[in-house]
Amino acid sequence: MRKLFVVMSVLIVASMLLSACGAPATAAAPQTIIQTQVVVVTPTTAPAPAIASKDTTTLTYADSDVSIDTLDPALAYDTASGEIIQNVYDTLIFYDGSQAAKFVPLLADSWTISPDGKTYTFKLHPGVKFHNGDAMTASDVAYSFQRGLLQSGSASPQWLFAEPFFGVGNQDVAAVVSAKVSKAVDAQADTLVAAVDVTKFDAAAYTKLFTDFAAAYTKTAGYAVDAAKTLGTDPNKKAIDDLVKGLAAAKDEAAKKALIKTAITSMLGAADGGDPTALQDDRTTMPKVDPAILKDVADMVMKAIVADDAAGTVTMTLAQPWGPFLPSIAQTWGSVMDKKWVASNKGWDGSDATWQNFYGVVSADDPFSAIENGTGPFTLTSLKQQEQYTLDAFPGYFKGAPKLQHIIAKAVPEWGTRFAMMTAGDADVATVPAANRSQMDALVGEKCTYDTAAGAYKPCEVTDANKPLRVYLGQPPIAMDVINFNWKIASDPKSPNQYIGSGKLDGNGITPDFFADLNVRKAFAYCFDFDTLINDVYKGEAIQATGLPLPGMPGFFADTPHYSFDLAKCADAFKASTLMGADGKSLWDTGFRVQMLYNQGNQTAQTMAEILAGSLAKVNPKFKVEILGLPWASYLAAQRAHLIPIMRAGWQEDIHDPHNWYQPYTSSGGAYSGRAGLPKDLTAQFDAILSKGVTETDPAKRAVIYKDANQLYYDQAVGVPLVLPTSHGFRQRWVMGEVLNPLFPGFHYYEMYKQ
Amino acid sequence: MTTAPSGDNSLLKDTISMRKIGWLERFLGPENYRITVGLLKTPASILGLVLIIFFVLIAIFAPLIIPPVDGADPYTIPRDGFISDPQPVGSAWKKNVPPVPFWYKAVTGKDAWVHVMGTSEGQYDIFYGVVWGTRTAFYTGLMVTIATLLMGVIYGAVSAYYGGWLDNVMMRIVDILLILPGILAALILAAVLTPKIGKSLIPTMTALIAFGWMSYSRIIRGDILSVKERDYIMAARVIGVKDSRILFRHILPNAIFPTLVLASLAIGDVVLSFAALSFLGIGTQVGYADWGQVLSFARNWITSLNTYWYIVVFPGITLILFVMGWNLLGDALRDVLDPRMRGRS
Amino acid sequence: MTTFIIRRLLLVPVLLFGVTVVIFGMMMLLSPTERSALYIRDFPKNEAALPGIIKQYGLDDPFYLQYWHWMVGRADPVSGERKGGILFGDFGFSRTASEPVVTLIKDRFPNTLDLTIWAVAPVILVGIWLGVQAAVHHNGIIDQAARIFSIVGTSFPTFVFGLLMLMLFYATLHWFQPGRLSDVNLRIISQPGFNHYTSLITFDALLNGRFDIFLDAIRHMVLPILTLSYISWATFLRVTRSSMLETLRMEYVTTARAKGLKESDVIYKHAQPNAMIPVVTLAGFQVISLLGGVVITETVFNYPGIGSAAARAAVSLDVVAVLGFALFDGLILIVANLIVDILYAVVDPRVRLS
Repeated sequence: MRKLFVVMSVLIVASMLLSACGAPATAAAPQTIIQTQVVVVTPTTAPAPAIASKDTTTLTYADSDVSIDTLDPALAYDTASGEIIQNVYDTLIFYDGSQAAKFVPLLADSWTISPDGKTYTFKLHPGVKFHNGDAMTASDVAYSFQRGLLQSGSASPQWLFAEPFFGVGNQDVAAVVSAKVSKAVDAQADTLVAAVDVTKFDAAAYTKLFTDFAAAYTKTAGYAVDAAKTLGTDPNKKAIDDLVKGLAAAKDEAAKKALIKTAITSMLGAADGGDPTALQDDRTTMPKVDPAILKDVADMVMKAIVADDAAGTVTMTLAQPWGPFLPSIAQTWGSVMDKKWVASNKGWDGSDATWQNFYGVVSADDPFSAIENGTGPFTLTSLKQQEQYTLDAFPGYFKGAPKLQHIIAKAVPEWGTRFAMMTAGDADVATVPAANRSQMDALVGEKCTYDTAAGAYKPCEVTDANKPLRVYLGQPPIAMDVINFNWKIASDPKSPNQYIGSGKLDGNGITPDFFADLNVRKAFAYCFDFDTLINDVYKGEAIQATGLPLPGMPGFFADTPHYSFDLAKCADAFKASTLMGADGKSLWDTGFRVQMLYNQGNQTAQTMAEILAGSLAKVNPKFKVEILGLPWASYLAAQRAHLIPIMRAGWQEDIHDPHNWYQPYTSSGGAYSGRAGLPKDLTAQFDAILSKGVTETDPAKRAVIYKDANQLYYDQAVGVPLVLPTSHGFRQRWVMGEVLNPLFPGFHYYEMYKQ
Repeated sequence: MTTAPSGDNSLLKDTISMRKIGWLERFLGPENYRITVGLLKTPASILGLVLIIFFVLIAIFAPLIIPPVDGADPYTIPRDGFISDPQPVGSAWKKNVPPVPFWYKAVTGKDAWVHVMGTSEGQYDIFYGVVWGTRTAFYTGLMVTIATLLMGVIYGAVSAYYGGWLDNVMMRIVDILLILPGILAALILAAVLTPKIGKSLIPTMTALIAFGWMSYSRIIRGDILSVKERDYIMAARVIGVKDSRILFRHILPNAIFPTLVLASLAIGDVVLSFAALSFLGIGTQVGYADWGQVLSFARNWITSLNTYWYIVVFPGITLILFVMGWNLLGDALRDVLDPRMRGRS
Repeated sequence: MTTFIIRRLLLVPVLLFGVTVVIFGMMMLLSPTERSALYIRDFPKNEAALPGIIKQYGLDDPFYLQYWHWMVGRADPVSGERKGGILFGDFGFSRTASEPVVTLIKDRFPNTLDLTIWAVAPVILVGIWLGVQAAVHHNGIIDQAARIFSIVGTSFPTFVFGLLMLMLFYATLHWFQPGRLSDVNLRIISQPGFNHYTSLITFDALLNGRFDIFLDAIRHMVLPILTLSYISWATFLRVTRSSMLETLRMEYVTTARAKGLKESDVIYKHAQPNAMIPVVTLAGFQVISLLGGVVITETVFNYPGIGSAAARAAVSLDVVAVLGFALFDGLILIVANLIVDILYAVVDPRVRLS
């Protein structure tokens, strides 16, 4: 009988092989099912809707994840959170249809801008109610903006308001507080120094001087500086010795006092590292800062944003004219919250004496991370992280209740499962990775293409009445990847940087200042094969980016000078480099080895690195770029520690404005320019252009200013902007009415309905 | 009718078979010899053996079956471009083409090398992954099994041999490790090790070893305890043979064979565990020739199987046949070893 | 019997201690920075603050000290309030889920328990039934078919099998959906009219008299149960078959036959109960492993159980969540093991006497 067993095993294997080979023959089966399904739901042959949903009141969204950082509009700075916020909260103004930089009234019926461009007055729509029934007042609006500014925090989007209200370069309210603290401390130091009798050296008097200063400083700045430790009364300390020697040698009293002042300043430096943003994100120190200073700052904010409840207006006064101010308040961080509700849920009560306790709050500690009370068209009825959330229509919405009754967004991490949900019609919309679009394309029966000139989608055309999906094609993106070079790679003889090989230019590594060489950067820029990226990864649905500004914003010019793929020019640039190998040979003869890092799981980033490495090896086999994937946390840490020699730096714009692109990549306070170690003189040049550009309100004049920035960015080959992939999104064909604005963090359900 | 015993021992000859003992039997010992012969007589185990020998040959001759691209790491599957969509069986190979193997022209009569089994997501050649992945499968399967076996045997032997409180403590440690939730514990350890070691085979192997040896130690301990009671061990004790000699010369060789059998079953399981962890995102660098990964490339396309069948079917069947080979062999071994089946085959 | 139970109970703290040490030990392989998540919820934006945090929370301390602090928590140097401390039920805050770990477990575990309860019958009973049939028809067609079936079953990667099931029964036939419940019913159960007595959806549905929701919940569990069954039947089949074969060869069975009892009575009344003893152990292990969550099955069918959440936390190195999940799983498994052991002692007199 054992034979039977073997025979059957063989049969099973054979049948599996057979079914494998026979599979294409059964290819039609699932498609037939889809067709039958369509026939079932449309029993008539009428030309009217060929496709209809089973349940028109509920929209189901199969997302790859439900991971909501926070529902606090002042803190949320990710698209997943922003998507809910935009549907449950309202802003003063809103995007005009699919336009990225044109606005229509929402909570504000109208607004005026003063001739100097610094004062904005908004007239509010009367009779707007929050979800809990409270009436929205002008005070609520002013409070929401004040709360955001004072809450700040580097993880929040508030830097977009901090700059217009506090002045260019101020990223956080902490910078304002710090400046005031410095000023107060300076005055205290002056008073103390003036009181010292420098004619005779008295150790006890000096000790007292420093101790007094330390005490005064602690009271003002919030955190303790220990005089004994930083400068000190310890006679062995070099600083005090120097001071004594200096005092002995000093000619007059003024010189002596100056020396003491220097000593005190250096004590201060030792305490906060001389960093003006020392208070940033420091939630323990902020409440301890001198209350007078804190009150001062709050009053300044409250004077800048004033509500007139009787007239129903809110007036905002900026520190300087600000080109992109309206775009900034149209995003979710401009949402209006209910002051009474916030205060009753352990939030800030609007007083100038308590704000410091809420400064820099993080999502985990924020009471408004999981609850909402907006004026928007939907209310959040449940939120289960990593599972799903549901939105229900708000019947009291001031513009009329939305057409959809319920929204269910589900976390479905497996693409195969999401795809099955779309084919079964159980999901109305789904997250589709670019890599898997072809499977969805096979089900498309309706095509909508974007008209770049008109700035909107053309009317959709039905290509196959029986297929269930609609595709949207061709809309330009608002996000871009840039290859950034690290001009000053961190490397330390004690712990050599593992990503730069030998750390020397000997063919087996690079020097830490390798990318400070202009020719090297140019060569890398010429060596990136944009066409392969566009054709292979994006299947032709992308165009090469010519600079940081995106199409449609001031500063974008189609003919901006840019680098394109040219192996000969790449080789020339390498040959032109004056870098010398360790043995005196040129860079071209020596070659190099460097690692290019990407975050694990990001296939596009990996592919970009492989493309670059491939062309460099083609130019000269001695140019070795190795590709290494790191987990996200390690990747970020390595990037912040300036260890990564060459990296992909992605950005998604907050507002459709060139400032939002140049700031992170080139300014002195930018996130990426810092990680790239751009030299100070270069960032200063950019800063000058940028502050000119952002304070100008006339778009035509702004375009001219940003042209200079484009030229500088190209001349210095600061980075390589890659490609602009155009949209390719799918919906069930019964989903109607959607407004597709690229700046929406997700779906805006208010206009949508189902057939 | 009963026969009375008589003087000549012809009757005894009938009752006790007098057969010749060959060198193999002498070498292996009667018990192990019986098992070996039993294995070669079972059709199921022969099928298993054939499958495994087939895979061994593929692993050995991988460089001849499909040579690696010049200068590239042979364990990295060559990519033909970067398009995400899998390309069907027999599509032309455009970029990053490896040298055409010797058999190709003879079999097909063509010169241009193609994707014999198609390409998977990201244009990784499936045939290359399947062939070179055989080496990875053997390497990981054998390494993990041997390591767990060694650890388990040493641990179990020490525990059983010394007995007493040490045995008690050592077995409690085994209890603790066994209570940890299986694949999750391995997953955690592998995930924690990955940032330290980097994406490679090592973290997963370490994790599977760390949480895989306990059952062996339990089995070997039980076997040793039972062998200890056998007459020949008693006899050895009586005539004053040293304890350590008894353990290494008499107890272990007789107790270890059943454990080895269990281990052979585990080789297939190791490969499956690798595939499972690969699916969850823990494992080798993207593009490493590992069946689990090649199969994971298929995850996004399985629901469109009518078009992309090859991306699942080839690596899937390879994996199933490999695991099945070990399972058939192990199953047959188990039957042969089962004392209740003794003398039946 | 009582001594046996007392001995097992005494072992529980030892096992708990051991399990926590092992899990915490694994986490100690991570850098102090990554472990700072145990005490502070937000990752410091300012890199310069890190050394201070590491010192403040003693993340460089020797293992036993850090283990102790993980157990009892640490006082916040500023506010003085206790942070962490699993002995006080503070499992911490998961960064990847943006939720306290306790909430996450509360959300997920009832689903796992629900699945386990309904999976027991098909997974275990059918497996045993197959094994008995194979033994009764030893070397017959049923036996051989069952064995081939089981070998193929153990050779199949779960995720491939699961995705194939999904393609067949959902995308093509549209019989069974992935997820936990259909959208309409999800809304109903989240509304005030629906009482959550047990937080197990199937039982709550019955208690609320909503038979339609009960059926819907069962329908969503069909594919996960089918997948779990297929991969575990093989083991049950093997164990039951050999145990049954052994029992059938025993003398008392021969005696029973000789007495002239009906063959079905001999098999099912005399032989089967005794053959079940090793199967009970296996069944216990199976239930325990189901309670620990089934990572891959949950992922493929989007079933919101505890396994997929734990796997996700592990892969993204969410230290707090990993420790929380592993600890919770360990607790559940220790308790379940204890129950199984005691039940086993009740079933098999040899155990409690030895």
